Amino acid sequence: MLANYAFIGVFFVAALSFPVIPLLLAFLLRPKRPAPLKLSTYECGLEAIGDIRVQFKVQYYLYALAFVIFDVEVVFLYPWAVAFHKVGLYGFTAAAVFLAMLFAGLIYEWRKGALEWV
Amino acid sequence: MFQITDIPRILPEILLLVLALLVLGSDIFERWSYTAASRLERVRASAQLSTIGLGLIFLITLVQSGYLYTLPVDAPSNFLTNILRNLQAGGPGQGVITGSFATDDLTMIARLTLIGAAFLTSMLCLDYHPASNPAEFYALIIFSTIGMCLLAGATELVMIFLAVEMTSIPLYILAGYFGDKRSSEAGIKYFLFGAMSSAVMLYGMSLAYGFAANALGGNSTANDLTQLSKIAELAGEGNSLLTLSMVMLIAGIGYKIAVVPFHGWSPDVYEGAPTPVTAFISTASKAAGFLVLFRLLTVAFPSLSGSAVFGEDLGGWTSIMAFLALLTLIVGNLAALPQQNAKRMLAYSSIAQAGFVLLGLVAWASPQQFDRDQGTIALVYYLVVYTLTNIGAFGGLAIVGMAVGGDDVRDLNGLAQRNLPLAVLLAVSVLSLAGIPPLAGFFAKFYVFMVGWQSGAWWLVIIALITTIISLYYYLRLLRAMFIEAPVSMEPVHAPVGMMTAVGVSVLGVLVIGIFPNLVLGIINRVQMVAGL
Amino acid sequence: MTRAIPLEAVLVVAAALFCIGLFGALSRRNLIGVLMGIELMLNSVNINLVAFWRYLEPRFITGPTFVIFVITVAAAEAAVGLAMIITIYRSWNTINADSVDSLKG
Repeated sequence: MLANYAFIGVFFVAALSFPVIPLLLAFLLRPKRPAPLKLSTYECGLEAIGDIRVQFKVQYYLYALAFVIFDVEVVFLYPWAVAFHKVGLYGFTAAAVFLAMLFAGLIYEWRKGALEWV
Repeated sequence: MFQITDIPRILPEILLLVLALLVLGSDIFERWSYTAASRLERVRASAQLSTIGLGLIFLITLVQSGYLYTLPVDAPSNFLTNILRNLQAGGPGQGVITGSFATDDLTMIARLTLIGAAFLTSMLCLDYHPASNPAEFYALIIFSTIGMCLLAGATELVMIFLAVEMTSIPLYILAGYFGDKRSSEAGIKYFLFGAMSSAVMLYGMSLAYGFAANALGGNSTANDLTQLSKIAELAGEGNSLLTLSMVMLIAGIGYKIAVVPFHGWSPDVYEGAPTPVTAFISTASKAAGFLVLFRLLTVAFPSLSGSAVFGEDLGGWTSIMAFLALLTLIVGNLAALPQQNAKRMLAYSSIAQAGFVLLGLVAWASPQQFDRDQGTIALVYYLVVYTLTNIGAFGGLAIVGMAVGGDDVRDLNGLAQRNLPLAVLLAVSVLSLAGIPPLAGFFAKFYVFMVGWQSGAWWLVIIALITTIISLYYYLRLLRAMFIEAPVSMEPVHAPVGMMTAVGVSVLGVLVIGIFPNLVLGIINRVQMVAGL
Repeated sequence: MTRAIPLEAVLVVAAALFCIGLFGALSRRNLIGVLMGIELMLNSVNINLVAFWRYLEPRFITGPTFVIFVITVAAAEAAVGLAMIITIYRSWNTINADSVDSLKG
């Protein structure tokens, strides 16, 4: 029955209206007095100079890459945690081996200096 | 479930893993200073550790396989024989570990070939210094070898997927290792094509799983629906879903082994990657890809094999293989003709060689089990010979490229006068690739032609013969450059000992296998007993 | 509840996603875009696997196990791919796939 999916639709509408309604109210209620100064980057303080695109340090990417790997490996631990009582010592050993490998990776990264902010 | 007693059966893989971690660990736990001498020392340490380690693992695998010497049952029991007995108990057998990894003769021969190729490659890299982080360079070669060994024995879809990725991801990094313009371009091209092909392969796998689940109708008794033999059991007469899945799997693996409609990446990658890495990619990863393709097609889809002869029962995988072989032979050999870069020429040549290997798979079109077994033997024999020969050829080019600074055909000019032993070794490798009689390449080609003819694909064999003759032109061009053309300078080409030894070993192997083919054929003959699994 | 939407509908969505991903991977100029296309293809495979499992074989966990492996390997692949794109950017100063073309012939 498609009707079973109605609650997802309701949820979707509710989630959407949550930010939209305050924004709409603000748009309707606020006084409108446009001025060119309001469009500048900072109303007070220094004039903005330079390009909008800032070069990030490559270190950010290193962190991001390391994070992605370790973050996703946790996927393997959830099923193990759920079935912990059933899989017993066998499962525990397997998970321990897995975690040991992850740990070796972390040690390698650490010793290599990838975790240091230079 | 995986048992403790299964550990000896995957001993080579475990040893490789330990070696890779050792190579990485030995680099990070030592404090290296930044002087030039200490950097050289650092490269040497990891290179030598990985070379010696791979050599030892090769020997242990050889002992475990029992191909040279099998301990008699009634041997006296002492410390040494007990070790040997336990080791060989984990040797080639019929069994499959937890449904996903077969330790049969095919896997054992593949391990020997692949670990041997990795050993020769790391020997080639002894003097070919990676710019930064040397330990990672060698460790990645070993990690990739683990993936290839797992790939050769995989009998389950998840395992095949994981092994393919384990093989490919280190190779992507290795191809782009030097980070200069050419190397990084080779790396990114290899990565993009490889990732796309594994996605296609995965889609095929998901369809195969869906087919199996559908065929059982909710009556499965265990988590075994992704096993190749289970799919074969359910396949019956086959249906369109399974055929689609098979085609996607062939396309996905076809990228890895660079057969023609899927070969676009390989000349660029072979040319741009560091030459020893090219040697490794073009031999070991291709051999592993062929073995997994063989196991996949023969174990999971025996009912869809079809026929390679026009007009009869067209549409099975042997007709696809025959068609791919046709394209590969023609395009590979013709595209090699105008090449000016020797590495690129050899890249097209190894595409063409893949076409010959496919003939071994076409043999499954024959209804007789005998012909099929001959096809298997010819396939494995060709892969072993091709691996040795191509490592010799690319290794020779690596030496020249390092000494002269370029790998165009004209950089080979007058090599005979600048370094005669190197020129002779390179010439033997090239002649074996071309298939000149006393060398191993001739016998391998002869064997695949024979099984191709037996299977009824005589038209394909005739075309293969014609393209072989065409290929002589570009192989002889290399020889002409080395022996007849005048050298640019008379300065001798310096050949480092490690690289020279690697090339020498592979050429020696080519000569020995060519003159005494029975040495290897006697071992490969055992494969037929488990080919059907 | 699983019968509300037929299996075919889910498979069509997955197939459409796969095709969009393939088209994206083949047609995008930007290397990051190509990578995103590949991720889309892998995710369509995940939808396929989960759908087959849920509709046809819900008592065993082959499908979800496969999906978990696909997700992790895809993450590893994306990490390697991004690192290689950084290398490309450093040596070529562009991540446009068409300008990276020194190797041809």
